[in-house]
Amino acid sequence: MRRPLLLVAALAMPALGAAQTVPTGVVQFVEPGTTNDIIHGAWINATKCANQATTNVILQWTATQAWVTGGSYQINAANQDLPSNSTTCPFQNNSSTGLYAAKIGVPITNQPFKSVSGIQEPVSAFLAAVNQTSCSITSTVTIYVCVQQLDQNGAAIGYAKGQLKFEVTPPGAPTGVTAGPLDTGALEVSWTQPNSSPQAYDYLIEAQSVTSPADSTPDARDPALHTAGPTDPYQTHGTIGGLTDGVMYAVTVIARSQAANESGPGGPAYAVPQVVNDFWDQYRQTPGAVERGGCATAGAGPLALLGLAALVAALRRRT
Amino acid sequence: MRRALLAATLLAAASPAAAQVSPNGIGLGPSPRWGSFDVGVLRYKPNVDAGLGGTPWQDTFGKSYGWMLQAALWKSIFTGAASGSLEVGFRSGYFQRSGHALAKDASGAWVPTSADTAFKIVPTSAGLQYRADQLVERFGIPFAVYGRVMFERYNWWVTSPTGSWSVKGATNGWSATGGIAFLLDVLDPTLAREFDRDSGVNHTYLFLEITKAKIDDFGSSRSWDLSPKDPALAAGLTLVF
Repeated sequence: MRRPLLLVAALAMPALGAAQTVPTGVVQFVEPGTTNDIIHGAWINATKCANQATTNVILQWTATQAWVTGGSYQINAANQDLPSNSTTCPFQNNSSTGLYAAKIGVPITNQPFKSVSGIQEPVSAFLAAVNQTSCSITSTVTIYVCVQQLDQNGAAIGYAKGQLKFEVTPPGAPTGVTAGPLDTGALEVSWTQPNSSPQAYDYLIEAQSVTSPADSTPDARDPALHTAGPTDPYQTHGTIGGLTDGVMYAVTVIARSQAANESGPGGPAYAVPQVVNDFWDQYRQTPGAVERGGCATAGAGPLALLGLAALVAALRRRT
Repeated sequence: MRRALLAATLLAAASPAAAQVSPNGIGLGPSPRWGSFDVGVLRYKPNVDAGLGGTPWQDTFGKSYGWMLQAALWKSIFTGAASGSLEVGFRSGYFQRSGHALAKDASGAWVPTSADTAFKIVPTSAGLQYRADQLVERFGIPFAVYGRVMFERYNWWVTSPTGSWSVKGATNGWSATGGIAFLLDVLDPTLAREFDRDSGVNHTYLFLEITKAKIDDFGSSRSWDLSPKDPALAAGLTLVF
């Protein structure tokens, strides 16, 4: 008993140490329409840029200092990081250093906690703060977001910071798209990750019925466009369901970057959903197959093993 | 996990034995014997297709054989230089075969799809084993022959293309095995003695064996046949401790 406890303690020590060194004062960005997607939320993509006046950045943070009665938070954005020797977020331009910075929104006074979430500000405010006036950019722009914590007199007492990335370049389209029947009404799809920059992060699968590979007229039995995804990150296979058996579908795959910029479609591959036999199905449909395969359920196996272990233990005690 | 538990059991059993033998580290002959532990692989393909009007196993998984990993722990009932060793024990292992699910093409023939299906077995067995190791113990000739009879229970399941369990069950049967074991101690006797002194392992054998098994619920008409397709070959290591 002592050794397991020591082992647990030994394992817990590094974790405790790590917990003590986790930095505070971190700003995160939640993707609109999700509850906790802080991967895509940290990006401004082509779609968000095009709709920047009506699309929000959703912020959450944990400040370095506890809330002070009468205090406030001020969100700032800049094209440069907070200097290492400073605790004051940059909030105005400085032409001599090439700094573009601005306050975002008004001071937040109704959040009397160290941790704050659900704060929304328009994408346009962040782009304007760093002088990004166009959605046609070729490289990734980093927007340094710094939330200044202020006391009741407006003096800076702490901060939290994070990074937004602005990118509109899509990844390359997936190659080698293949599709085949998975189950009734479902297709299994696989593809090869495109070798591109930015890298593909996840994928969308689309299936549109066709009359034949040479005739893209939708089949009247199922004319709707079916979609699935996004897949888990970096997956190179997926499934799409809700299809009609016996109908041919053109299946395409779209790659998305972390910014959720979408590539052109990869494919198409053509496949027809239908009943698929796993080994048991195939066995059961073979003439001469038995009904159940075995005479008992598998649950008795572990019990038998336990009984044997007890027998050996008893023999060992006797010796 | 199971093999780790077995190994832990082996070490726990072996260490006290070693301590009884030579507390000062000077050889006093072999340490007392508790039993043995063996681990190996069995060349295996079930005889599922036998007697059917088709070949579902071959169509799904192909013609080739697979390997079943096995580990066993044995307790000596009696042992002696003149009598050999009779042991009782249990064994478990794992076997998996993956293939492609089948669908009918336009002509009505079954063809493989890109969807996966798998057949998996966790065998649990118990039985008796007799090792004629008199040549080793009395004359130093590094070979022992052995025989074994086991009650077998194959716990199995099939996975569908969606990854879920399509069906699960268990099939019982028996097996009889004969084998020959080569005593590895002769390759480095000094190391072998140190291994005994440090860990309580008397002997280490390399074994090769052939098994005849019948895994069909003892001929039940409601069970399929998971017996090895041919008398099955297995090989591995045995530690006598």
